[in-house]
Amino acid sequence: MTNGSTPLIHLEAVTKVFVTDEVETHALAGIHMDIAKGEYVSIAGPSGCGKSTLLAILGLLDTPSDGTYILNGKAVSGLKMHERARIRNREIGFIFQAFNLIGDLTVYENVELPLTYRGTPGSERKKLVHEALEKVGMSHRVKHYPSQLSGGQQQRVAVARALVGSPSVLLADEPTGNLDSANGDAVMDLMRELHRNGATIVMVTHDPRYARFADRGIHLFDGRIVDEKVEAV
Amino acid sequence: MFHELRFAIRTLLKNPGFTATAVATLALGIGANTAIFSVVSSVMLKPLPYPDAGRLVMVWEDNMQRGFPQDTPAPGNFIAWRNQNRVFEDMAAMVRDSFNLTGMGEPERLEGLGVTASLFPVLGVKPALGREFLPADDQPGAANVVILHDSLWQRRFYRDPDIIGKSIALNGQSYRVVGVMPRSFHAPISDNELWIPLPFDAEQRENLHSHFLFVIARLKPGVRVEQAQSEMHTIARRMEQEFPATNKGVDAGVVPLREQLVGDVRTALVVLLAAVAFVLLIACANVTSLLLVRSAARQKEIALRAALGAGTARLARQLFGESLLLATAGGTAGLLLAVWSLDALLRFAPEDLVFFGKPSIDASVLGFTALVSIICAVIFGFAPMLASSKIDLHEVLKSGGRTAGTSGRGLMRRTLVAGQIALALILLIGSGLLLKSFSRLVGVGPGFRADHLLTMRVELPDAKYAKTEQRSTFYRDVIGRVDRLPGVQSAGFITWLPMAFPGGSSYFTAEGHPHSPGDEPLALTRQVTPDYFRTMGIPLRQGRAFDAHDIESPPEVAIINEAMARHFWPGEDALGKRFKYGSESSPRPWKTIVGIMSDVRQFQLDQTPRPEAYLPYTQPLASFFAPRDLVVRTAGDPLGLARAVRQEIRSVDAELPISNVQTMEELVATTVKRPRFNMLLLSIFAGVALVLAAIGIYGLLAYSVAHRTNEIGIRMAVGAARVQVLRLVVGQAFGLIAAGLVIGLAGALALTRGMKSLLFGVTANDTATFVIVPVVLLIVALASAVVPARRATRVDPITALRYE
Repeated sequence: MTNGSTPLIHLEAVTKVFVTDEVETHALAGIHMDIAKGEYVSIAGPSGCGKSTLLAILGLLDTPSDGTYILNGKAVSGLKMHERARIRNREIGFIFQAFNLIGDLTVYENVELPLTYRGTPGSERKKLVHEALEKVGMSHRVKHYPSQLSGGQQQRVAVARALVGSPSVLLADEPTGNLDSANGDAVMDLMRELHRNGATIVMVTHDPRYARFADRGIHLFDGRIVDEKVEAV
Repeated sequence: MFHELRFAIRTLLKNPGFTATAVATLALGIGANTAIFSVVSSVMLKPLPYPDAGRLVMVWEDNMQRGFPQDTPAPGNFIAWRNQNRVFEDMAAMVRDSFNLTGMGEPERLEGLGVTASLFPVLGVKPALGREFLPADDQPGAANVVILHDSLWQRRFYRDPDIIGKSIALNGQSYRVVGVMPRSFHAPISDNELWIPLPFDAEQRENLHSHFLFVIARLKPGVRVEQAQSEMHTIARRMEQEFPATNKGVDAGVVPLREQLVGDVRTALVVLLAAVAFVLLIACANVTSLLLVRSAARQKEIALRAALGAGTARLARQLFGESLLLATAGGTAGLLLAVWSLDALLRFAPEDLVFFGKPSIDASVLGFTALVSIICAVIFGFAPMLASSKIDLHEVLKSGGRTAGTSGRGLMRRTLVAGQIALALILLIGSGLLLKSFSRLVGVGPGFRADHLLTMRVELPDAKYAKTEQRSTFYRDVIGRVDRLPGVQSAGFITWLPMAFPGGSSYFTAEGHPHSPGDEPLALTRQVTPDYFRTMGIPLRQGRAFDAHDIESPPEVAIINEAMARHFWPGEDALGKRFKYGSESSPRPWKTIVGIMSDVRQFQLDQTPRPEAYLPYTQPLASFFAPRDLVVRTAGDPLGLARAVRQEIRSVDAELPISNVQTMEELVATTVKRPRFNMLLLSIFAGVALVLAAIGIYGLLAYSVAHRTNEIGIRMAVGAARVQVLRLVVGQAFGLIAAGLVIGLAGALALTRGMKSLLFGVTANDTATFVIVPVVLLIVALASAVVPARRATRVDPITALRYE
């Protein structure tokens, strides 16, 4: 579902086939999907249905076997490694189930990382990192290491890292999967807040409670979209 | 412990790659140490083969004024020292001599010593057969007697049990054999096969100006070397006052025999010992790193054992058992490596390393190897034990053992790698300095063209060639015949070829430059045939070579070298100037300088040329200076003509033994044998260190990349390009390498000072070496980081992120 203007993300007949020992596994089979700027989309489905593969393709961590992927008006499915890295850095923010913070870096350094790779000047980096940490309520923990934080706090830092570079889209892969319900709720509240402020979010979840936070829900089964519904706001 | 050892064997066998790498690394380190220690033990630690050898000393004339801190004493001084001292049980004098053994088949030239009868009692050794020299034997006019070495007795006399009392012909004279020295006996100054008595007649007993003796003495029990030195100093002062003309500025120096024999090689051995110790440390660091990686991978196993009740001591025993097994296997392999390499090593060794017998793997060396192996086990077994003691059991068991690599362990491995780099750099700089020094040394022009020159020695015995005319006829005949051989371009005789004998100087007086008695300068004196200079390719700088007139009806003419001209007639034209041997008042004739030849290196490539005078071979001079070395310039391979030249000499005199047949290039090469040995060995050790350090860096980074796969995946997910990942890994390596280089440079600056005496033409802190070597090491180290770094760039972020 789009609002009629050019979609931020456009997938057309995207397939992903894994070949192992001469056995072909179709992880995605002809996905058509548009996501508008500012939309909050949840992707659900049983284990092995292709949710994470779809998210990896959306995040340019993986390439489709076939089909077209247009991000922000640019075809990105056939890009070279370094171009994909550049787009990941500028257009995409990741939030992982396992937080994926770097243990040897402080909170500040973890959040700063995408800006470092972008070549943002130091003074601007500092400002942007503090703003991002303010947004997630973690600005008081800048010098802490991930191991010194709770799971919920670590995920909030991961969210700050995802949004610090003002990406076009936030991709969240089971962001509450490793959290207790209180911390899970807090993170979902934070994402809803970000969405209200204009962020585009694509979230993989199998928790129906959290799927309802999204504007639109996509249900995958055997690599195909089998259901798509717009949540009542 | 048996249980732990059994488990350790099983664990090591299950990981053949790890075990083989660790054992091979240790074998290199322990093998190098064992080989070098066997040499050090043989040269520096084993007792000398004389009873109570600590009381044996060499006594020298200390003539610093003329640049001879250890000058061979004159007979008059030896007699005075022997009579006046109260610190020695006795003193003995020796003089090197060579003998032509004839009258029993193929003539042979033998190296021997003329010795006072006191020599064998001073050394404390007795003949295996017959008797030693009696005091009556070294009196003037005594009958000719000789003592043989076991090797000569076996080689030429087939261990004849009735040899005692038989006569043999030496230098055309008959000598009665009175004794045979045992096989194990070595005289302290050179390897000899026979000894004859050295009598001093009345004239010799007062001779204070001919310096040719080697003097050895045995301290009285309880007398220290310092006391002996003080006493000898007092006697020398007395002699100086009594005989100022000959003894002005001549002191006496007492040097313990071991110090005398080892002094020159000690620095080189200490440097080599330090080098192999460094190699061993690097090897231990590598094995420690390997064990740390393994202990990280085995955290769960260790945690499980601890959870099941294994105490710290038991865990430590298990880990140490593995280390001990590795060290034992490494030590055994190292020992085999040392046995195999020792022969190869000794092939390049200078003579002073094998003087008292070939170094071998004996009980002391085996003990050393065992000790080193145990020390290794303690060194590299300690780190994993420490690491295992810090494991958080709860965390490890909860995470399934995947929380490997605490920051403490990482720091330990990084420190080890930086240390390896530092040690390798010190070794590389050391070997770089020796390499540069050696290239400078062999780059020194000897002053002649060493190529295509065949050399050999023919000693003319006094008995047969007493007169100058007799000798001259021989030289003329031989040169005439050799010159006609096809392939021969020219030939010449000289007293001693350059680098063949470190002596043969005479006092002289330059006309118009009178010296006070005792201050006469010295010049090397050589007699030559006319074509000697052309044959050697020594350029004439001024004047002329000897001509037929100089040879046929010898006027008193001489050719000198540039050093003599420069030194004694500075700013003047030395041509036409005159000098005479002895003082101005001596009855010897003045010699007129008719030519000035370019300088040649007379003793060693690294010793500046000394003043030298060449005289025609027909001028009457003591037989000591009679030409004996033949040099032949050939068109092709010099050794290819050796047989033909020998035959020509034989056809002139079939009884003359011919020895030292070699090319001039070989002769020059013998003078650089020691620096080449040092350079070669240190280069090998530095090369091993470099390889081990590179493996260390590779291992650390390969482990680090494997360990950081998840982190690298995260970085790639947030936008790190390949080049940024590459930079991350190489940057980590660069930091370590830079730290190692800084520490290594500081260490090298401090330690290479100790190598000063081994260097020629290069300073111990040579800038080029200190710049180029670290750059080379940096390149090698970074190159070894490239493979793991490239592996990091190929990390698949999806797979990496799934790790968590």
